Amino acid sequence: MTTDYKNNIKTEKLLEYIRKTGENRRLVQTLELGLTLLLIAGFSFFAIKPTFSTISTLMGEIKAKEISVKEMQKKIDSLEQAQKIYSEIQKDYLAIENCLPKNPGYYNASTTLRRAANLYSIELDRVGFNLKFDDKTAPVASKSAIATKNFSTIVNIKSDFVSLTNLIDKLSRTQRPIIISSVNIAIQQQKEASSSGTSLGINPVFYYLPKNK
Amino acid sequence: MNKNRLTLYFLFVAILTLITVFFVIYNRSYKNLITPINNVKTNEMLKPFNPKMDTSIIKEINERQQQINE
Repeated sequence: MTTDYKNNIKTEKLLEYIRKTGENRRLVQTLELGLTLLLIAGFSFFAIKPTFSTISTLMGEIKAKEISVKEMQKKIDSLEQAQKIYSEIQKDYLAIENCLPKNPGYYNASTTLRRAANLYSIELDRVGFNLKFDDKTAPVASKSAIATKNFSTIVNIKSDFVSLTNLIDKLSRTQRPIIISSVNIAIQQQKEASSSGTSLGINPVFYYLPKNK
Repeated sequence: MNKNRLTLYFLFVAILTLITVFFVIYNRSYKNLITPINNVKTNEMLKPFNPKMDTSIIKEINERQQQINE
């Protein structure tokens, strides 16, 4: 009985020892694993990160250079093409300048009106200029169209109806575009039948390029 | 028991640290790779332009009277 009891105690102690030894081994293994992972993390942070960072920076710069070279080449080609087109239209530059001058050209505008009137024997002794005129209703080709400035002129003349319509037609076909924003026609009856005629009031609008454009 | 739990926490923190470090490395590398490319792509100087010009309007201008003769 006593021997069995002693044997039991010994066995329990042995089992306890084996269990504790196993636990300790697991603990040590887990600690080793954790430390190894931390070591790898540290090594990655202090050694791999700068290397990868440098490599990726260099690769990014190489790629960026490649893209910029491609884009530059495209732009150079476009520039060459634009230069070619520009040289082709240079002979028409005078016509473009006449169409949309760089300055208001008030004298040119009044001359145009006067000459057109003279063509139909219409006396045009006075041309008024409205410099504060801003034609908001002017037709604009597109949003990308260049911004223009404009001024309005005031013309009041008397003549026969046919000459007046011919004058308007003439003005609408000039190289410098003239927009006639309003037309007022009135028949004037006077005491003498021979002096009767049609009076015309028009507001031709002239366009020009603003400065620094 | 207490020792076991602490060791497990330690292992968990080590794994998280490793993942974080890898994520940081990946993130930094990707940023380094992409930033110069994006800078080039958004560069105003390198933006393409359309060299084609609508010359039909010049023809129309030329068809109009150049000067009104007296």
